[in-house]
Amino acid sequence: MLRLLKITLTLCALGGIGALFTYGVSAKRTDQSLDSKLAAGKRPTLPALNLQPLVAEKGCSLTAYRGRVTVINFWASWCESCREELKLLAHLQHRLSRRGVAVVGVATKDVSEDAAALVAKMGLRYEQCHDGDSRGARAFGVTGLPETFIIDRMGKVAALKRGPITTEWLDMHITRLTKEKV
Amino acid sequence: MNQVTGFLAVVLMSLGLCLAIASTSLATTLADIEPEVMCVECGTPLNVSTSAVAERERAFIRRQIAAGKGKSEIKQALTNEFGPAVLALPQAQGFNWFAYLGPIGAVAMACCAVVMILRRGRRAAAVRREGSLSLRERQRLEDEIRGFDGQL
Repeated sequence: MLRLLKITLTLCALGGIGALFTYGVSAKRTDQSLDSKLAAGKRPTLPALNLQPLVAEKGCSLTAYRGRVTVINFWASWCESCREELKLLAHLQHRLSRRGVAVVGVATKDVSEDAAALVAKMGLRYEQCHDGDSRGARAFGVTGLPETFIIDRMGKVAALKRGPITTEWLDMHITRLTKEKV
Repeated sequence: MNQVTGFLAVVLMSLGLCLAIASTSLATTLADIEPEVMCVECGTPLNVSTSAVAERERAFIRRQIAAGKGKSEIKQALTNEFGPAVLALPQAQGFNWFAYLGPIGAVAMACCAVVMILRRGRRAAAVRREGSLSLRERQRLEDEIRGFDGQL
């Protein structure tokens, strides 16, 4: 009886250690499922997220733009490459708007005051969300900044760029996606 | 009368000095908070991080200190900005309780195991002691057994 109890306790302890190890490894691992699905030619569904708005008091839902090609740009005010990319997006925002493309900025791992100050300084007029707790970044498998995702009219991720984007990259995907029928 | 006034003045001045010292020592400093907060980008405690985001976090904490906020209020403000992952110690709720109760449970189990091993060792030693009878005791035991057999 005592032996059975000992075996049960040992197995429980080993199971607990194993479960903790698995949890630790899986919690730290970056989700790369979007990349693998895109590489396989599939278009994964946009993660449903409700983030905090950075400047206005309304909600900031990434799925609210269904029916429009949407560019989602993850950035932070402390990131040099992001600031360069924001300049590009600030330059392109009117052109993209004319083509019916929505742009959403997501300030992640950033102090909201700093991010809002940069938005005001750069005159960014597209919607900005704050992803302080990095929920959004985790859902998109963001590993570094900046990262940009292009969503098609069906609300599916059609392209992503882990790193700074270029006008050519944006044009290439947006031209293709705006021609697609819903 | 003058002596009483002087005494009261000294008491009031001492009280003021004590309050000033107390308020200085109770005021939150960046160094108080840094070890208890993580750099959200690099995953290391803020006091050892030199990244750009760590600098922004420090600036945020300094602004909160300047606004007269206490340590818990600043930690709450940081949690509101960056989520609970910004805290070096997990908040005592839900699964996080395991981080606090797990080690206590492990220590309790280890103590139980030690007690069991000690008890078993003592019991084994007692049995060994009973087995090693002196010559006189053995003789007496044999006599008693013989006497018992004789009675049968």
